[in-house]
Amino acid sequence: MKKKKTAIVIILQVLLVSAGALITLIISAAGNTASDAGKSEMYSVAVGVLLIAVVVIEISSALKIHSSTIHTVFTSSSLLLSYLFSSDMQSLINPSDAVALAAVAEYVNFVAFHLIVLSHAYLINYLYKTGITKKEAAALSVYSAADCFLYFILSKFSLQYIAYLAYIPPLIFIIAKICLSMVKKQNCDTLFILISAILSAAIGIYGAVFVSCAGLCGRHIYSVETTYILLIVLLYILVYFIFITKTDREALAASEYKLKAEKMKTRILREQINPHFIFNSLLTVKEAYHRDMEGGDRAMNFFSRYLRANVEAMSLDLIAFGGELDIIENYIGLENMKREKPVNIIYDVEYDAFNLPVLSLQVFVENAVKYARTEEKEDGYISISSRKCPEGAMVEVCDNGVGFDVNEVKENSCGIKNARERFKILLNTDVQIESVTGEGTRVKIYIPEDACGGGENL
Amino acid sequence: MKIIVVDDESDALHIVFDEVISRKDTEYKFFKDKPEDILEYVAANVVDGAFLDIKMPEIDGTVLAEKLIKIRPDIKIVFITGLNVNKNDLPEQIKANTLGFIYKPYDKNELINYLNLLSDEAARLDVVMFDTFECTLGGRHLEFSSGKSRELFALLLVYGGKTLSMSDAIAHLWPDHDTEKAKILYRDAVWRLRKTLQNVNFNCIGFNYGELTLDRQNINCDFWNMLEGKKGNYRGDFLKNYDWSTAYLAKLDKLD
Repeated sequence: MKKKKTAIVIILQVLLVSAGALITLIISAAGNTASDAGKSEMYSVAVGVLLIAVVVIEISSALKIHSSTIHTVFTSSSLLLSYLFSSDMQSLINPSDAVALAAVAEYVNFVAFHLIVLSHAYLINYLYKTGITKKEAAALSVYSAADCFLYFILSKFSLQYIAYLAYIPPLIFIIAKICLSMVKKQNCDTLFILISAILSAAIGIYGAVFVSCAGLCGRHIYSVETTYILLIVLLYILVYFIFITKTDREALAASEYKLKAEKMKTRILREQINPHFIFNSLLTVKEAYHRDMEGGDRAMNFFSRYLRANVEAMSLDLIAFGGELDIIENYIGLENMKREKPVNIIYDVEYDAFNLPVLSLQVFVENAVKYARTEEKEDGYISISSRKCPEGAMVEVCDNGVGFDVNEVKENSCGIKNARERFKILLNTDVQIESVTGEGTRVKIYIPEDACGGGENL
Repeated sequence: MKIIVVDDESDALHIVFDEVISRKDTEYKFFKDKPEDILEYVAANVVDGAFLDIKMPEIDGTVLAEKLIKIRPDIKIVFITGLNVNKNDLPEQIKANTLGFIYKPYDKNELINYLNLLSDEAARLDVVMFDTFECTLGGRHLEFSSGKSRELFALLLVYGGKTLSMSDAIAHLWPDHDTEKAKILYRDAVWRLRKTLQNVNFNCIGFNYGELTLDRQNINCDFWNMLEGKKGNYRGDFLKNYDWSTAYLAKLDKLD
């Protein structure tokens, strides 16, 4: 299957290149001769100016925005170099001697073309890794250097067209690689297709230069290179356009996400520190002080730390697992001062080097404290377990309390729905809840690798 | 050690400090928020630490901190605040000198922690194992958040500097539980012990893949002293509440 696809792609490429050559031949056959050269002068200059503008844009964006665009700076500069030494430009300077390009100019043009191809190979490697591997790009560089040297030697015997021919196999190789990765649907975003289109157009110039310089059709063909360069400039403009709209879209999505996260945080805050909770807690603190000062201090500390953690949660998305356990400990501490029989909580922590949405475990623990009624059982407990696992980390909140109907809670509990949503948005992970009436509840969450790091196994 | 406390209104803070600072090595002075007086005092005296309120009518605590640091580059700052601030909210110039924050309403223990950090001497943990198990850190009773985490710490102390493996700990503390349940309870005890020590800034245990190792530095334990041949208070009782202690009793009786 893979072989068949490869064959199709190679045939397609051969067809494309020969189509380019054919167009060139047709234009030349239509009699685009030296007498028409005057008309195309303006055309060449205009396209040249456009290309210079592209180079300026590339350089300034590399300087101001991000150095990662250095590849495209290189590509556009190589294009400009190649165009300045093209036969169209030569004919501008010296219209009378149109057929024979100055030998040095032709050599520069040849080298610049190699640079265009190489910069594309490295760009694709930089952007997509698998499109063209680093080794392949390196091998290509060596081949290019060798080919340039070959041209230098052969030009002494006026056989330079052999060097042109020698570069066709690597060109086919690159195009085949590009098409292959498009067929495999690994990299077929718009940017990728445009980059390969620019490369294809560049190869078109190569064909044109090859045909006219190798003397195959006996005379100079005007404006073919210029047309190709115009095509490339247009493609560049398209890339800019797509890039700008893409950034806009991303910025919009980011601001939407921010708004949503903010809303959820406010909601969770409202739920966590509602007046009911605050006044109840104040009563607990008061009672504790009436019993003895030390207990009062303790209650006050639990309450103020818990309140502070909740207010701090407003400015926080993710929190370290240990920090979340601290919040839970304060909550349980305060809760246990209210109760006759304390809640038995077990911190079964084996791994703690990961982050999770702030107050997200707290919601599940609070649920267990409020509704599981574990303290009514002889060996009732609520446990929080954490483990390292291949996916990253696993956290579990379990209890052996009364259990509940999972479907009902899914729809009705705002806190749980909220926590679920935040796990989804912030960590792209799902919360699994299992509950058996009379046996207890188990909440399981996998934390992806990128929210983990550093830490230790306990 | 010399410290200053700057707060425009808090008499309550004054009371807490008076109660807490019983150490002989500590001199302290209270200020309202008159910046001239404070700067004058700091220029004339070698002050090690400053406890500063952030929100004061005459001067902002962070601005004051910056001025103090200019006079005494080594001074350590602790901010006292009801605001929701942390180190990231501070100006760059004062970050390095800031030890931390005490949030209102004050927790006495937090205050003690910072005083311990400021003091030149490292805090010292005193451990009594004859007859029951008690730990005191810098004169303050150490409270454990569960009985088993306390027992685990006692076992670690008995092990001295020797590494305690999970299976050894379980064999001592949960001999009758099935392995899975015991492991869970072991991890719970380890986590709680770790948190307890972290809260008082006395991190004397190395945690590593189900193994615990105690760093004996800055710990004064009557059991160790006795093993080293010093006279102690041994009267036939050793870690009375813990079943596994009997195995060590014979050894102690021989020494006695």
